[in-house]
Amino acid sequence: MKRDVRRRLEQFASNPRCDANVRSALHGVSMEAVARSVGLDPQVGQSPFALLRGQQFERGLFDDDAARLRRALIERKVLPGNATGFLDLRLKAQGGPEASLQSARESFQTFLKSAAKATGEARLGLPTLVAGPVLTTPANILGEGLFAIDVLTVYPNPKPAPIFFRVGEVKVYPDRGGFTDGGELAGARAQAGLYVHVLKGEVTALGLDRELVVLDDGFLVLARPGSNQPSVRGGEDLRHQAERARTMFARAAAHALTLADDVIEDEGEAIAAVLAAPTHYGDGCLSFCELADRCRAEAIAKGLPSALGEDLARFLGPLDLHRALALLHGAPATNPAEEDFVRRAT
Amino acid sequence: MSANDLLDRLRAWDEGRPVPTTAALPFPRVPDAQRLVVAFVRMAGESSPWGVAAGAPDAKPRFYTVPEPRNADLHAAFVESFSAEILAHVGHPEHLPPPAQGESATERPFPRELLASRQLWMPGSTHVEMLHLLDFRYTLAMTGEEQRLKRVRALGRACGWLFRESTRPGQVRVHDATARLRQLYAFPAETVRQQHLGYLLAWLGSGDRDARLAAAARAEKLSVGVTMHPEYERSALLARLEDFNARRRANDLGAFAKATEIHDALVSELDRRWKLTVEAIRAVDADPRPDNPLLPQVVALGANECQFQYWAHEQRALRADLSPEEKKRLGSHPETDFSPPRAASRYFAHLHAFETANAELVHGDEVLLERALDAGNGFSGTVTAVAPGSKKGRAQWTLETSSDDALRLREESKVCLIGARKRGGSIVSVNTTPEGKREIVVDLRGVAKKEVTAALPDPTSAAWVGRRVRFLDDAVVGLSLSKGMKVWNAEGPGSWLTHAAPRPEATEIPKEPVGDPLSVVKALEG
Repeated sequence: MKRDVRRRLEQFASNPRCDANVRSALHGVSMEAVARSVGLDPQVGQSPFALLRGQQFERGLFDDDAARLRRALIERKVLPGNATGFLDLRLKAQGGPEASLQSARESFQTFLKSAAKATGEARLGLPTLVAGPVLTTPANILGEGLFAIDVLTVYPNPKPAPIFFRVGEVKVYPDRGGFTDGGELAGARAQAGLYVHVLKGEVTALGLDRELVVLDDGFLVLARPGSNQPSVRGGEDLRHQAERARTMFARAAAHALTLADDVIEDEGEAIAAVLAAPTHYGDGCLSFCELADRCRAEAIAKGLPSALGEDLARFLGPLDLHRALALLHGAPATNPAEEDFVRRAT
Repeated sequence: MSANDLLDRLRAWDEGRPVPTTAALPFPRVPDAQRLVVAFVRMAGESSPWGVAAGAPDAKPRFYTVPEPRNADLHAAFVESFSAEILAHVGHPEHLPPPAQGESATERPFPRELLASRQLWMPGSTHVEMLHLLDFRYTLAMTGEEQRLKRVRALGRACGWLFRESTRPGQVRVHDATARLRQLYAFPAETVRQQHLGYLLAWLGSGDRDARLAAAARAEKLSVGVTMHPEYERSALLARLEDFNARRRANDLGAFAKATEIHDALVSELDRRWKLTVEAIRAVDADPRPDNPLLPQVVALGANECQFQYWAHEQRALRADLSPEEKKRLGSHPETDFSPPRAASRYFAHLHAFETANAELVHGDEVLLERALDAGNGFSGTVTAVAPGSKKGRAQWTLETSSDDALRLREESKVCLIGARKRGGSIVSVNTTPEGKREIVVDLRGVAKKEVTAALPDPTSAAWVGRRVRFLDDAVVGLSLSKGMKVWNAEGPGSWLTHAAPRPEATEIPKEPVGDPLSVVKALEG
């Protein structure tokens, strides 16, 4: 099972009502493999150009002690004008010094502990930017998975005041002001909120929550259109997204508990178990699940209104498509829900 | 999504084909000569186009591509190469037919007849967004050869205006083909799937529900947005581009052949997107519904926007007597208004556009009218009595309507008679009769004799008694427009908000050269 669990968490959060999806995410069974096992040819994979562009953008931000990113953060007042110091915890593959997620995690924990203890000049001289700090998900959910935050800003204060942390999420898509894709922004905020929640838990678990405080607001780093220069959106209130992450973890833990006795080591059997699990098709499945078309076809065959959209499913309530159409064609309503539908439809 | 929209979707599923959602088209169908179809593709991760297809729908498209879109110089040359297509379409003063004898380009009147009905058609929302990205990248372009800069900046400004225009409610100039089809039909599919032009066109094809569903599923496998499929990029473009870059660095003439291969690979993707858009236009052209008869007001408003938000600025910028600083203020910055009054004024302009489109088109479309009545913005009833009105010539009608119908109108609400829009008045009272009916009394304006016909007698005539009539909220159009002018007043209400910040000061540009560079450096050395 892969230890970098960010994608699995996102997959889980995308449709926690679908048992097949939950099983796939929590047990690390790739939906792509599941789709291939039933003869589907999922169109997956990222553009080589997009990958390269993402890497170049992020490297450009952190090159030269993150001079480009720091300048943008200072301009947008996310960091004070005198902020200095850069701690690079990125992996070697991303241009950083760390050999593995595990070593990056140990380095970050060491940093947190030393920051909490630091006093005087050493405290005020702490690095104000940390790239790639690695966090752990609770062990009861995804088997202690690791994932890295894009960037963290640090605000050292003289004791007894705590040191503040602010979470940042880097995305390569262009910032078009008020026209920036709302869905993309929501995704970035959800990711940043998840980091806020997990980082808070990590600090608490280390017993450092009096000395280190994770702020509820964060920032997004996007690209200026047509350039590699960053465009920073500061003051992003992440409280709602952090709370959403907390709820998601609680749900995942509950699911993990029910599936705990059901862990299957053999890949073929694991795939079969995902296929056997009940599905819950929704509009969002199209964007992340390789089984979406298959589930939609099943929903159509069963007459489930979600096949035509979740908004229609909500509108129809307990009615399926067959019954709704029969009522539209003049069949008599037999219960209050059907009467209500007929009243709304005519 | 309203209940009507959802029921339409359900009916579309029942019938196994898309069902029309309006009785008339909310945008005009114009000859192909007035239409320009533009489709883009881009390299994934980049925010500028890699290739463009442009042309009238009845002709073959012209294709423009750049082998390496990440190279700023190559990209600027590519953008310059297709700038004339866009600039001629929007009617940039330098791209219009020569002015009449004795008329200068900077003084010719706005060619309203020529430009009022022009339409730009694009496959989908990501293509329209590309206009905004071109605005970002080229409106403020700083480096390069002067003539090229002039052209690409002009293109950036034109794209910026087109993008802003695309966001104005009810506009009929920039058409996202996918959105237009969704506006005309209810498709039996989830909203998220309805973002794909090929998917919608397949549903509009022939066959029963299963055949159309299968065709739509096949169509949606092919990308129609500005981004190509990753697998296509990997198989058809990646190696060729790497080869092109290696040869270009080595000054190898073979780079030209590689550029041609990249061009060909992009053309096939561009061509598909362009043809799908033309297919959508043809589907619209073939639609038996009429154009909404009240569109001229909406088109006229669009022409005004073209004149005052784009054309007049461009024409003024041609004047030789304006300084660069003065010209700089003529264009719109891609990111900001820099001026709260201007932002407020544009807000009201959009509000006015929304109100105009709503107030006008509803009278030309029976479906919109029914929806407005369903929403309680009007009522239908039977005239039970006609009495003298509040003034001479006016009439007071008493109408009986169903008390089950929604009604958002209250006493003193302005209403107009459906089918005779100029006949309006205000509601005097709304009461419930002992029989449980709703009784509405309307005080109607008098009408000129020439407007009285056998079908539409004078409002005071007893011939109206017993007739079933419909009234609609007579939305006041024009109030927002006047507010949009008033927000410029630094002394008026709300000026504490719009005029709180001082306007940014212009940078002084010395009119005369400061001297030779060497003496300036020596002077700095003290």
